Amino acid sequence: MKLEKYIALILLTLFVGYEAKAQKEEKVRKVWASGASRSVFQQNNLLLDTDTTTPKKLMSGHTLVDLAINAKPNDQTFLHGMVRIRNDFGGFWGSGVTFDIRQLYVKGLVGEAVRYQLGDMNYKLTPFTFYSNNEELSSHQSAGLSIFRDMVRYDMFYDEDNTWRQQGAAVDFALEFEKGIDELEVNVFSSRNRASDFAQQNDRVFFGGNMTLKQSDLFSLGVNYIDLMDLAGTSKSKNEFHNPVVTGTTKWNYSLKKYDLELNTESGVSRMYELNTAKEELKDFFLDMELSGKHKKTGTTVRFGYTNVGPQFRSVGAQSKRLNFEALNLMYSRYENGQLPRAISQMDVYQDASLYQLRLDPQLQAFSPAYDNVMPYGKATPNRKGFNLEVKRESKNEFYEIVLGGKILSEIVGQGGDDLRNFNTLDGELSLRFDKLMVNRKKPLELSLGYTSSRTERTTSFTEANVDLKSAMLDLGLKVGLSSDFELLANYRSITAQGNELLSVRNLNTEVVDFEAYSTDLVESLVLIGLRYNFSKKNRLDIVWQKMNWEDKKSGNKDYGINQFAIAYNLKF
Amino acid sequence: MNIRKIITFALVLFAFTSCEREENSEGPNLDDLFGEFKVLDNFEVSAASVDFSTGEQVFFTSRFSTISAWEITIESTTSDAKKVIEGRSKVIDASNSIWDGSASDFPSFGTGLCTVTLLVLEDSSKQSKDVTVTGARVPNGIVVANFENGINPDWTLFKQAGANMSFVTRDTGVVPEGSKYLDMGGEVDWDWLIGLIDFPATAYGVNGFGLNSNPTDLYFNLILRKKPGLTNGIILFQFKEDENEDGTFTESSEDMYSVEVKGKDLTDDWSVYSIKYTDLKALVNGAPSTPNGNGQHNPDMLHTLSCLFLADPSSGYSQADMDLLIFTEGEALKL
Repeated sequence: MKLEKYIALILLTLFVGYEAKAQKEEKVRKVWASGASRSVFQQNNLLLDTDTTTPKKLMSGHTLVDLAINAKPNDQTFLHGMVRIRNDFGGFWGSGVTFDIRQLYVKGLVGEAVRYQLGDMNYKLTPFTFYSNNEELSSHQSAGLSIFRDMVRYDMFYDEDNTWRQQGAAVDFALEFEKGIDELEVNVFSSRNRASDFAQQNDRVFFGGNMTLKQSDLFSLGVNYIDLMDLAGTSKSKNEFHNPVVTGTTKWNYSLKKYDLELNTESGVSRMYELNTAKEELKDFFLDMELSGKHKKTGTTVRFGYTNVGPQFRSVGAQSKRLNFEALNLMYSRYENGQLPRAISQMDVYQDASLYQLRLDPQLQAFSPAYDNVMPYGKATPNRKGFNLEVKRESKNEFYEIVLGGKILSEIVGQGGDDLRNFNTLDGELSLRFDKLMVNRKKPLELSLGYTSSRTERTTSFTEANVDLKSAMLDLGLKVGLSSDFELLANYRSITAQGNELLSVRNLNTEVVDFEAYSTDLVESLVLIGLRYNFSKKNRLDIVWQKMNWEDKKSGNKDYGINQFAIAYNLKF
Repeated sequence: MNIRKIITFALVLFAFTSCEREENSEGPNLDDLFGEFKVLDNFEVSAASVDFSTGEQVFFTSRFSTISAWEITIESTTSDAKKVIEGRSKVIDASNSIWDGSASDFPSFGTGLCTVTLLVLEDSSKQSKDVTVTGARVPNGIVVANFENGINPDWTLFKQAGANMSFVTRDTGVVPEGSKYLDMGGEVDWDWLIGLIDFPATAYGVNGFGLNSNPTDLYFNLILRKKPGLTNGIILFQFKEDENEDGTFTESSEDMYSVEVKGKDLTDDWSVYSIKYTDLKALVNGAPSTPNGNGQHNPDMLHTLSCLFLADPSSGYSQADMDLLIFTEGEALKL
């Protein structure tokens, strides 16, 4: 605690001193401050008359400031250090002031050719090697539902590029050629995944890279390599874990008279093994292809893809999940007179940062079949093959955007027998921006509609092993500009899931060793109304009221509702 | 067909055709899980009698047509000793049903007839067998104290001149191990210390405690309980290492590691408390501190193990019972 305060004091002093100097030297900014600040207040009310044990009303909130010092001592070097000062108001989010080093890195250029970054960094490769898949329920989210989701993503360093936050080093450079080949790009990185305990746990590092040969604007070829491995000799343990994955990618562009075509392929192999143990080695391969065509005149895009990911394909960097479905919610973690654990609901997914994680995990982590039973580990979900199709069109005047898609997938090998599961999904999204039709209206008037449904089926010779699970999500969003700075936000989201599954129970080597019956009759609904005042593009105040209802007749838990009133102030500078 | 198309097609074809994949299904066969349940082999015990004191073990066998959850309960006919072995499988054999004489909870098994019952949860069927224990299990490890012969004269016992002082061995009620345990109790209103026992290495022969040098593989175990309603006691163990092997422990220049067990963490029933030697910390007045010696855990150099029974002088009478102080290797003590 004293160390963090000392560091914060140093950074603040530097900020005051150098900012004063920077104001005099506006032409060449060598040191400047940046950061973010927010203040959140929430009042929650649990709606469950039969619960006489759980405190119904919970108030909480916090104020935090992320203060960063950026320094550019020369044209080749950039330093960034950010401190977080957080004060919780009390309630279920705790109390007291905390100081934390939020991020620290240096990056620069060597010889005007090689870029490097040391310290904290956001990194990704491909969806089958190193990729942070979006969390469940994150599709079709309009402005209202994004208020708290964006805070969680900011806190957890999740960004729109699907990178993972790592601590390590990265280097990249490119070579240009005069003829034959345009460019060769090379990116390599290394980060520490786990520290040694000097007893039975080795240091575990994650390293890899990518080399892409861009022959021209029409063709490029790449190779990716990653490995999560234990460093022998860093503890007393003789066991050494390895998960190397090698993939090759191609990208081919071709322009016809009326269409622009693009073909992307990626295929590769993985191994997962642990030396000096009795664990079986798992190895498998995958293939993913997508052909997309864009009609030049209308802008309509059609994507058609095929995927085949083997049942023993393992890629820790691509299959690790953001959400930990085995964690307990912070808000009303237990309820009812029996104080049963409250299952994670959509409100927790949008708001509770404690459910999220940054560590890459070699286990295939638990998922929610009600929320996503088809591709819970993203594109790298093992034991899937099949086709997907998507059509997207956006009007030239930006009035509407429509996306329709579907997947027809099945397992590659059966579980417990030869009968395979079949998976079908349908996904549609319609966005209407009425303000684009109104010449004199500058304020937003937007309506969005999103719908996703999926079904998992399997028929076997045993009724207990048959699977039939349906789920659907409907999202309606509205954004109305009341004045140049005021906006009205409204959202309705409904999630339903009915049916049964036989979930895999895996051992520490991720092999299926048993099955667990799962049954659900879930109905969740959430209504949100909010007012937003935009002080500027980077500064806003949201006042939000939302109500969620939850019921699952098959779970044994009682139906309940949660009312929430919240005020959220956000500032970036 | 230009070269780019050829390369792409070739790579895709190569990736698709050159890899072979095992087509076996994942997980246990559904026949084994949901097929018709039958007992194919009846429940049997590997021996009618067993002498655990010589290291003998016994196991049980049965076989079913499907994977089933089962529970084997072993109950002594002469005491309340009980052991439960659970599993889920098609076969019960030596790989999943060995009984080494341990109990699931106190009291431990003595000699005598035991009834063994197999309950198969699939059809709630029960089968029973008998086994006679001719020799009770002796916990495998280095025993520091089991109080069977009272207080060893080579130990150093000190108790304050307080009120209602005990620090005596007793044989009443449930005895977790053997026939006697140590009762530590008293009321001392001027000092935290109620009493202490020093167990010097010299009390155990020329090789001292005979512990190995690997602290990550060594566990210190003991059996404790508190008196109902009394949570004010603290049992402090101090591990004093003679790192320069001069035969004495010098507090200012040699390591002393400690562990505290607080009365509020004890139960009214006997329970085993275990700590890995490497997890012992240097403490000063209960707070972590820096060790005064080489800073390494050296169990093979253990000079004296001290047990101090403490309580806040203003909190009144305090009592805790203790039995079987034992070092074990590889795992914590099993009952």
